Amino acid sequence: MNDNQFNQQMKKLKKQYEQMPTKSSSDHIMSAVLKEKKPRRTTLFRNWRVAVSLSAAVGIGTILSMGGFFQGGTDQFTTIEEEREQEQNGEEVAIFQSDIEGENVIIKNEEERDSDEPSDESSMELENPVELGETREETFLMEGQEDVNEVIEFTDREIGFRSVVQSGFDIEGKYRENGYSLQLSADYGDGMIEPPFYTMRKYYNGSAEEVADGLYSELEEDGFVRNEESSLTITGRQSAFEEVTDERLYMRGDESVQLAVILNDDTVYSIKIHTTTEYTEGLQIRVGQVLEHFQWIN
Amino acid sequence: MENHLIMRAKKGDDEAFQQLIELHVKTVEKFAFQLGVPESSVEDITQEVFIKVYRFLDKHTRGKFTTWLYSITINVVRDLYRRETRQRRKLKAFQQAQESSIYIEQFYDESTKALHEQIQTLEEKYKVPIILHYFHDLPYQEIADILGVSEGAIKTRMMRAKKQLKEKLEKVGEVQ
Repeated sequence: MNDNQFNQQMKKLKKQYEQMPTKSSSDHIMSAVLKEKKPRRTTLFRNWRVAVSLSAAVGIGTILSMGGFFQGGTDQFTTIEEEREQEQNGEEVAIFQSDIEGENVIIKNEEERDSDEPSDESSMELENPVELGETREETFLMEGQEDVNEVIEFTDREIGFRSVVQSGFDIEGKYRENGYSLQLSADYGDGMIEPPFYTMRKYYNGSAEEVADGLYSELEEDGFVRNEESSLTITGRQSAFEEVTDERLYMRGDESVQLAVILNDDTVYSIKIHTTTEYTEGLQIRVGQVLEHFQWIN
Repeated sequence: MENHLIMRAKKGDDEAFQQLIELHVKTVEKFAFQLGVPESSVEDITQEVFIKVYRFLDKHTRGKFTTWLYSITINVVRDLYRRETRQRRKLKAFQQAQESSIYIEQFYDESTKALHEQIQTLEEKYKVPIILHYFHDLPYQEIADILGVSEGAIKTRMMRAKKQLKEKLEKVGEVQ
């Protein structure tokens, strides 16, 4: 087939496409668009309920960790106004933190506040989604030499996965305005190293491309520049991430952020690996361990 | 006129937004169908595209509106395919494929039908530039903007896409 024949056929098909009658009506689309517009008040109310639920669970968790048994707690509610303010600022509404250095899982909120708000027993349905399991030794290769580290198994029931992380590292589960995130931060004994090297987020709303666009914009606003030569560092290493929508590498000075947006059972997740030159090598091994043992549980 | 409508729509003028829909609805429908969306789903996809446009109109601050609209359509169609992949496991896609071919059987002659079907078998990176260039008359640079790649990459893809498509059509011709 020569170019002329090919072009003629393409023109013919183009004509055929042009004849396709328009099916949609702008009135119908417009009413669907307006229906999708969610009233702000509803959103606030829904988030407020979550916030209160979390605060309640947080209160219980703190007592649990101190007393070693389950009791109802009423002393750590944030006020509705404070919650609204946090939501409007896009702040996290609560944190579950697992202290894996000790034997117990400590659940605490980010900032303890006093309030006279009464306890809402009926909304205490949320529990710490991060559970810790056994510790064990793992062998890894560093600069061609075999080495061993101790890892701890953990399960995140909100995201619905289990994996392992270097024992002594920090694990935090955070409920956010539109979802939940699990952050893993390195700690080699001198305190937690910021930023978290592994962040996995679950989104309650939005499609994969909306989530990806938002994340890319955030990074670009923070001065990160996309590196086009990136490889599939995250998604290429784990077959559990079969529905990959995008993976990119961003750089800023000596920092690098590898970002992947994935889908699992119609839910959008992002995985962000944030490392700096200073810690890159050691952290890449820890990242490798998290990814290698990653398993969906739902 | 389009820029004026966009400006008004950004300020919350729903009438202006509806006019934008009217201006572009045919393009979106056509593009979705060309990308392989079954004729029976074209309306739903088009609606989803405009819902996203409405929701993110504020974020569209630079570049041509149509460039952005094509990107959104590609993403919405990608999402549909992802959902379909899951549905396929439940054997539902078969029905959709049948609906799509009924429409083509009814309105297309043999050669255009073969060409439409062979375009669908191309990888997305080849299919999209071919569709945008031949059926929407877009220059390579604009296709590059839509896909977020260089103009050079589009030239290469177009060359490979044409070669693959010609080979596929020749094969179909041999069989027939």
